[in-house]
Amino acid sequence: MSLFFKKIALYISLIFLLNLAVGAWLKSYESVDLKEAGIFFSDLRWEDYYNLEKPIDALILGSSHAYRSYHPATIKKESGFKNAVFNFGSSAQSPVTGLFILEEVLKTHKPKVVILDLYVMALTSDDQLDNGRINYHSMQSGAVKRDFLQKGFGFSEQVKLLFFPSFVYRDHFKHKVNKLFGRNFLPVGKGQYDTHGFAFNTDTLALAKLQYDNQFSRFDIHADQMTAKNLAYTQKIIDRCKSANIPLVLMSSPMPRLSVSFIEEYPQISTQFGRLAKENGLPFFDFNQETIEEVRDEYHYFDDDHMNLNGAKIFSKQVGSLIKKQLDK
Amino acid sequence: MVSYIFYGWWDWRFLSLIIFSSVVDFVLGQRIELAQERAYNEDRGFKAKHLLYLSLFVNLGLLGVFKYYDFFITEFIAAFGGLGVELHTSTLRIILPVGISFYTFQTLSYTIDVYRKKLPAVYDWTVFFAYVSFFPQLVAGPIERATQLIPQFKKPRYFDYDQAKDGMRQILWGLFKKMVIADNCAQIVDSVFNNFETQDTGMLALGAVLFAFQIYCDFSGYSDIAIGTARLFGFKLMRNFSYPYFARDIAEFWRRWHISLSTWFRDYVYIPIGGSRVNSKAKLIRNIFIIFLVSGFWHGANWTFVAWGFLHALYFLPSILRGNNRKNLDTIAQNRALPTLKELGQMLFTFALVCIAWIFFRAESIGDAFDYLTRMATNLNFNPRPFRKNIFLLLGIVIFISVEWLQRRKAHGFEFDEMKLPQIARSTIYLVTALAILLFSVSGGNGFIYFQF
Repeated sequence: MSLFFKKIALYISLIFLLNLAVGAWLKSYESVDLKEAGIFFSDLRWEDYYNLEKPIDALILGSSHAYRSYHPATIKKESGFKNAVFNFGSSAQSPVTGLFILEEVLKTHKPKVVILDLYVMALTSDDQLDNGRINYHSMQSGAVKRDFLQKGFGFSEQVKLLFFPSFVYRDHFKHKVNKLFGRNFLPVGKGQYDTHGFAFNTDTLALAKLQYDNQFSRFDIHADQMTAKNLAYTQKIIDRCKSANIPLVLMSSPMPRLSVSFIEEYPQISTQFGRLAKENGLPFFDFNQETIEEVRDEYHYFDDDHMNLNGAKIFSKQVGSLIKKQLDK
Repeated sequence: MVSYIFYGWWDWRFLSLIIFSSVVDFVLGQRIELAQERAYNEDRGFKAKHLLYLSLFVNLGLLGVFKYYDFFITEFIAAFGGLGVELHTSTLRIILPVGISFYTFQTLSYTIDVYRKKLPAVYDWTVFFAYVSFFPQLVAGPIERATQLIPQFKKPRYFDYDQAKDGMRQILWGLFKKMVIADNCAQIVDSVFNNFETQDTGMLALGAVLFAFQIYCDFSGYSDIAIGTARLFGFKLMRNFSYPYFARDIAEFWRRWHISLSTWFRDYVYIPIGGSRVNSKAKLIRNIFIIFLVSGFWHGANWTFVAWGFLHALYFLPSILRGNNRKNLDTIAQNRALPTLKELGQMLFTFALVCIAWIFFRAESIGDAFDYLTRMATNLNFNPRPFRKNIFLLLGIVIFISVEWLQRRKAHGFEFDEMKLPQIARSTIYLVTALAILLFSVSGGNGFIYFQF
């Protein structure tokens, strides 16, 4: 029996080492390939943040809707801020990730306002592995990063993150193989990184795509899909801003009218966000309900839910003046 | 005890059900034996039969209540509704206890075999309870025969290095089939079947073929894991699959697919009603339909499963009526590396028939299955994009088929002849397989399909 267990231990060790080696190779897709192409936005965003020379006046948190809709320069101009407006949105950012980003920022900055962009799809899963990881790896070492790992990720996610990189980065396998065979290995439609966290795409969406190939027509989204954990962490962000005496504004950035129309329960979802804001005495602006009419068509988006640069600038102008009004109150 | 904890982990309330079923058959087995002894002495043979009927009534009753009650009530109400009579009968709305179809059949095999005097009644309750609840095969089989498994619990067991080693290989192969092939197929299959109204011929055919691989890899993967795990503990469970997609006709397919269930039905249903040794073709046809319809209905309370069974009965009939249902008893291309063109054609034709039947098995309703087939036959377009997009999965399936073909004479895909395959090659296979599981497994995974039966 001892020979059997020795062999099992040997194979487990070999598999573990192989997993580390392959995992490192797969991870290089983000840290080398995407970074060299200038489209590993979260890493560029963190680098940009750590190199900031000015303090942050306004901080934006949220999903890709946030980092593609809130144009820092326009908001700064419209609101009259003297210092930086920084967009810390990231792909599918959950409130769990959002809280630890906020904690990291509060270590060195005291923003005059925090904007939390609420998007229902970022609140429907407790899976932290993808949306948390891209921020965790770029965050500087310290107490917040340790806390992020221990409290933000579930136990199995921590094990995967620390010991099974080949599993965590397995989605990159196809791209790395494409690269090996000299084929295109970069994702299309990512656009480019601007500055202060903002990334943009200048393409305009074709109406036919919005009508007939709309991702929201395939989803079945309900208000009760928002998880208890995500709602609890949204409350934690609210409480953290209150304890730091920083005004918080809740917003839902605009999506094409047609896309929203596919989400049957959107009014209930919006009502739930409104109730959360009201209970905490916060302002909530849902730009899919109280509309900025001119940015709800296909021309201001590059896909069925993300604004293009033109749309983001128009929207941010409105956000800037709203923030100014809120702070002047 | 471990087996009961394992079962209770899912839902502790249903522990009472498996304990009840075990107690009933433990007691009835002894009483049947006792009644038979008395019958021999006192010429009173009827009591043992009545006790067997009681066992059948209790076990099939449990299955009927928990698995089929809601279905029959709903159908009953619908039938009367069709006649204009509105009935108000409530359904139980209870969840199906996991593994009930498997352990019920296992306990039934015990009482029937005791009645048939193939097996002495068990008087050691630990042996009997361990037999009913043996954790590797409790929730999805293989459905073990009392004559095979109970004696193994009575024997002292020793660690067998070769058995354990090969058991580990079987588990690894089972995990590969489930996590790499079945779970990845499931993603495409779900998308195709949920939106079949908008798909073209190519995509619908792909959906049906991938479901064939999904259900095979899912279920045979589970069986490999169960058999391999049992081997680590020194138990030998029966084989459940024997490369069914290499079958050259439907009869051969059924000798290779879910062997523990099909032989159970053969021994406890088909043969008792006369089997193929009946004096008229009408009775033979009746028996074939009974066995396949019951087999279909065993899978679940839905007409789609019955239709699946019906279709297989239709496939099976020509060969049994012509008396050539046992012509392919050997392994395909027994002494050759590749099949002949004729064999390849037979395999592909059988596989196509099986895939058509799988559409009924997977569809939400019989109407959906017909719509799926109609659309596949009429919307004659072929978009190569989904095939290109899923090239890694298709490549994985090609590798899987190749391994199965090379190993078709072996008990499982990773049973290696150590004299022919050097250590370095075997080690490389293990490492690459484990890495493939890490790289290609689906996040979150999917439950095993047969857990729902």
